Amino acid sequence: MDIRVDKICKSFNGKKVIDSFSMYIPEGSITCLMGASGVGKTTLANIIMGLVQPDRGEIIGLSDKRIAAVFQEDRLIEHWDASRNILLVSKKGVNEVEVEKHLSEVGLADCKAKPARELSGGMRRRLAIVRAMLSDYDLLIMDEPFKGLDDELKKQVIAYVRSNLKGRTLLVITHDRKEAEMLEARIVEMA
Amino acid sequence: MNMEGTNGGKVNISAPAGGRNPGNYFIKILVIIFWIIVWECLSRIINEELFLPSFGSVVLTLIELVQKQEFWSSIANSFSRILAGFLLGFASGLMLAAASYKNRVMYELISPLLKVIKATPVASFIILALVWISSANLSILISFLMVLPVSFTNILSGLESADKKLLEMADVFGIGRWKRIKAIYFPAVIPFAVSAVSIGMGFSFKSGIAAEVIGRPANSIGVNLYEAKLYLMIKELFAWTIIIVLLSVLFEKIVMVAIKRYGSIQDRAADL
Repeated sequence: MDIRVDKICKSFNGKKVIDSFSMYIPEGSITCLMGASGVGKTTLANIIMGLVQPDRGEIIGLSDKRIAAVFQEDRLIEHWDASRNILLVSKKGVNEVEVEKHLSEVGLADCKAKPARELSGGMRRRLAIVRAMLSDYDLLIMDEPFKGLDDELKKQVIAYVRSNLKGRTLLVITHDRKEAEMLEARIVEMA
Repeated sequence: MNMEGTNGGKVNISAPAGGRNPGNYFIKILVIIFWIIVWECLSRIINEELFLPSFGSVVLTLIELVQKQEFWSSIANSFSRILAGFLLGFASGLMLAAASYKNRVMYELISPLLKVIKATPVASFIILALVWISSANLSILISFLMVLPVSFTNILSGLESADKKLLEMADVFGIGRWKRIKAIYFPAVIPFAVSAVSIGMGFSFKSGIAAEVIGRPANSIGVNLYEAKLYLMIKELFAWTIIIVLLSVLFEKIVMVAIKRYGSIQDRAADL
């Protein structure tokens, strides 16, 4: 089922962050939500994830969907190794071998047993992406997922994401139009 | 909500830098020797065994005590009762903290009661409890009452310190309760639990023995202390006091090692 964001409004401390915003996310599509800083992209993502309640408006088509996310701040279990971070949220049947395969696809083959706190910013980002990709989801929301990755790595990780989506819906929040092009995504502007 | 104890509740459960350094042990031994010398000097200045016996005579008394069968049975009786009270108090505090964390009404209900328990003098509890229960079980109840509020306050603070962003992540991915406890709550609670053990252990030993001195259950450390005071056996009083301090420190160390070990097992466990 497609997802419809319908006239969402949200204010924080009397300041309007989202004012009657609507958008449409077709099932199985890759959609990039773009817009200047502060227009409420992350807030909208949080509303879709159910972490923030909108003041008005509704989101239709989410009720039976399992959601996965790559948050802006990675949100990894710092003292756990990469493999264990992934297995914490992974769908049934994912084993160490599969985890290792996915990690090597994003250039993290040597990081399987390293605690998250010992990884660099770019490595943590890729780990957060693999964690989300291996979880059980219908809708994947990524908030600035490729931030901090150089062009070569970005290309590699985007190829990894595309090849593992397998027809599921992806919503990416980004500032970078090039990322949207590499993902071959629909673009929705938020103003 | 504040945490019990000092250091803002941030208790480092790993050894401090250089903590296992042989040099540090040497310094600790020197410190102990220094205070023994101070004790000995004071004893010689006062020159009255009834007020302050010498270190040597207390050690000799201790050696005599250790050879008696009743000494060990007194320790076993008191220790098991105080330990039971401590464990009951700690476990109850843990459960009440978890319930209060989940349910605000529960917190509002429990919190004033625990504040009253915390503020009430131990002696009031001991005298009141003597009316309710037998003197043999008095130290269990008193230890329990002393540890309960400490355990509750600290563990609730630990739960409240759990990373909110990680909890949101767990909500989005639909992570189950046990995995959440292992991954997010456990690391947050551990330093606070260690602090609760450290403070609660001291409380339970002091109050448990005080309860025994007043309740005088047969064959207990408290009774031995009481008799030492009654018959002015000051060397015995000192010897028993040393035993109580050593037991308290030893048990605290055992619990700390157990918590650290459990923490490291949790850290390594891959059986999600």
